[in-house]
Amino acid sequence: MNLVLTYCWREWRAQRALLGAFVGLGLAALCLAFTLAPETFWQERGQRAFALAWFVVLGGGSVIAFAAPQLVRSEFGSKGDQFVRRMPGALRASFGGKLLFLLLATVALPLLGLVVGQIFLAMGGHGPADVFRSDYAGEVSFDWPSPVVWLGYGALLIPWVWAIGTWLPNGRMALGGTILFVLLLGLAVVPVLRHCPGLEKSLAYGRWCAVVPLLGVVVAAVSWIRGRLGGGAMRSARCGLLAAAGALVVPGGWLANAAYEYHHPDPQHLGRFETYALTPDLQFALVKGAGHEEHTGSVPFRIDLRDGKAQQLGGVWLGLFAEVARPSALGPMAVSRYFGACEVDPWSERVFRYRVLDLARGAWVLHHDGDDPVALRRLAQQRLPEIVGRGRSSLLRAPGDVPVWFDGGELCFQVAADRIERVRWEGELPVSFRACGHGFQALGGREGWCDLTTRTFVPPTAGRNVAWFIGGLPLWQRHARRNAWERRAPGSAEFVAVPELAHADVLGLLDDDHLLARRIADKQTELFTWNAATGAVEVVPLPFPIGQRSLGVLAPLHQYGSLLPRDPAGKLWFMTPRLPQYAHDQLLRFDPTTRNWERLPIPTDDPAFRLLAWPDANSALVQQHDGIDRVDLTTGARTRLFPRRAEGDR
Amino acid sequence: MNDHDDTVAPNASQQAVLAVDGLLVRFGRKRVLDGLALALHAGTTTVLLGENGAGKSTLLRVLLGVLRPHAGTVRVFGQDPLRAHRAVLQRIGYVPDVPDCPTWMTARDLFAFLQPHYPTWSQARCDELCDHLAVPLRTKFASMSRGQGMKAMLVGALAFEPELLLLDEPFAGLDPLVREQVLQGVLAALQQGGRTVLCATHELEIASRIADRIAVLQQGRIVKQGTLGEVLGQDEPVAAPSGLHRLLADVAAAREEVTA
Repeated sequence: MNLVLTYCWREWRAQRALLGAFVGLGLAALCLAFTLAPETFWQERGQRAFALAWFVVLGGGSVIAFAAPQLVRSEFGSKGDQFVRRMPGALRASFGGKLLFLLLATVALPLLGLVVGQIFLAMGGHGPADVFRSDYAGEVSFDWPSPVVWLGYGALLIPWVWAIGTWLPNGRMALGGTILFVLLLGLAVVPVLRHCPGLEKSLAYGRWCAVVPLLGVVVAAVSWIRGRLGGGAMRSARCGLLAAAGALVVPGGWLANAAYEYHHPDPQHLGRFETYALTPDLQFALVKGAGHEEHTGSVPFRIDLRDGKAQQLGGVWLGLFAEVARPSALGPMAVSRYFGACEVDPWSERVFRYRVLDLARGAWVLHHDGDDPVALRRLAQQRLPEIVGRGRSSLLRAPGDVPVWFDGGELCFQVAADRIERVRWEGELPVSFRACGHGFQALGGREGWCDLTTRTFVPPTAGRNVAWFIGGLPLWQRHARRNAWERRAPGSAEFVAVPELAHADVLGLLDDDHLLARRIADKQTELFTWNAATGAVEVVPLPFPIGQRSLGVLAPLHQYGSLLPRDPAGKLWFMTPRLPQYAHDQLLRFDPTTRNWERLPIPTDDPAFRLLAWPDANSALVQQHDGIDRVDLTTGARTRLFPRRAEGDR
Repeated sequence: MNDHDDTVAPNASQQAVLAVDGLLVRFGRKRVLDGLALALHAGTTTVLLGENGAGKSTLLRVLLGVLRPHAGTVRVFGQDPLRAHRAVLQRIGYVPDVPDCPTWMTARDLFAFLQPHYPTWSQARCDELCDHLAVPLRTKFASMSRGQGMKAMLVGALAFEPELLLLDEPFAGLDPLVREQVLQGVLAALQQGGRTVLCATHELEIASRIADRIAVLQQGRIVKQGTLGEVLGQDEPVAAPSGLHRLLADVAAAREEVTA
């Protein structure tokens, strides 16, 4: 210990002149700079702490930029650093002394900056209490000034500056060497982080912030004590780099493990997930999830809802899409057996290797190595004709509940169980379509609308869009006025307003004759039906007043077709926003026949709530509370289908 | 790390104080020491003669554990100076050709710094030597003359009564008066029986005045060694003709002059 103190004192003697001059000059320059700067820059309330931060940073920065590199350089004299190396057993003691000096400097110099800064501010008439005081009456939070935050990060590298200084001739360029070393480490780390977007947000940095300087001390110790024993900078570099490699194995392994878990999360312990699709028999779900909620990338899993078992389908760079057929329904994934997939190169963002997934079997059934998704769709339509949503699985309906679907270049109308009428689609086939009542909007290709009642194409009209078709009547909407509804005057091309729908939001087609819409009247949201043929309006009484809050119709997997979605009991599901009398949003079920409302025993206290499917009239599949549940609509009882963790395993 | 504190000293009378064999030291591709072998026995004063760049200082740096040899064995007091750094170095006094301590130190700082490193440090002896050699205690090395600095280094090397004294051309570049003072200090140290000295120099007068034995270093090897008479009496020519022949002849002449 005596020798350690001797070397600590010796280090102080060696550095005090230059260190004092450096810090003194820096602080003096800072005082002058703040004196010359406009008062508004730092004397305003709230800015004084910022000014003070710079004094602290200068004190701390001098440790990084000066004291740490000088630990090695102070040993060099006329015969290099021979003097300390020829002292009997001095390397260990000198290391201890230098470390002690460094610790003292790391504490003392920022404090010195703080004191000088306080004195400087006090000379300007701002006492210590005045610097951090805020007159703002609201909630005030304290954020570390960014210079101090950066100083903190830099301080973690102080032992590394010392270590790397021992590797360089005469201990020079330690700071530059450290920057180079960190950048070289970055070459290894950045590709990992780029391949795992969002991983950096989930890493537990706090623990490793303490480890980084400790590892630096270990590397510095090896570089100095072992490296300088019979060797110079070259031997220190060899020993130090070996030690650094060994020391970095642990954080490297930790990062590699985090990256592996990022791409291979435990499906039964996902940090977040979303259910994208279900097979028609509702036995398998397509889920994309991540091990941590902050992870941007999601890993696709095929979940067997019968036993909760999960099968990973690919990595986070596997893209999945429902539009295997062309055209396909616009929107998220849905109830289907087949899904398209492609790989994305994270570096070039090139998309390649198109495949088709059979979700029911959990197998890839079609491969296309090119980068043209259209080729895959053609291939899929040739070899997997069932991918076209035919018959009742189609989302499109003509009046009379006639299923409509695309088959190649033709629109098919199933007018009877044994009779399909085909209408050729003129022009380029659209890429996708969006159902809007008894019609659809064609997107891509020949754009416009198709009226499924008259089986005619409706071209775009300047300034107006078709919003809905009902029984051959297109309802138009002006671009600038969302709630102004118009129709063509009979026997004319003129547009006339539909006064019954003024200021209304149309929710969809309740049946072939009625639109369901809502509007705010007398500061209350009102739900009503509109008969397109007669123009009659019928108000649907709500079970309780909801004020001016919104009211939305729920569809499983957000899949909306020609008619508003109904559960197997023929009822519509609504969600109301949270009302003062309830703790959270309410799920309601509405019977259009009896006009009865029923509150459902499903709390919607989870923002991630998602209605997935209606297996039967008395149950629903929902995604909620980090899992997929089957809910009994009579009792509210839940059965967890996924994940199925072991008892007590959270 | 390998700096063991093995302080078990072998019996000096039975074993060579210093034994080097097959020593190889390279700087890049150049072999500075190439298979060097040397043995010093207790109580002898050996002068290492060699031209500039012959490897004299390199050998001393190896003996001090400052330089790690590429091959060969080095035993000082029977121990490897790298493995038993503290145990070996606490018994070795070293005077470099120029003061190698930090220039901000004064002689007083230097002695205060050296003291805890050497258990056998004698402050009385230090004071005595300082008085004798007129060492300026309060002057920084940066401000000292070379002679003053060398005298301070000599005091630092002798104040703990080392068993082995390594001198690396300590008289080079000194003015005659100071050179004589330093030499007197060395001679006084030699008078204390049992101390082994290895002095690297190319000053023949010095060699003739202090040497019991002479080892001639050339091309990284000891090419001649023995007493002065033995070295001069060897008929076999050295491997390469050089100024060393003339140097050895000068040694003989100088010795005759001293004797006369």
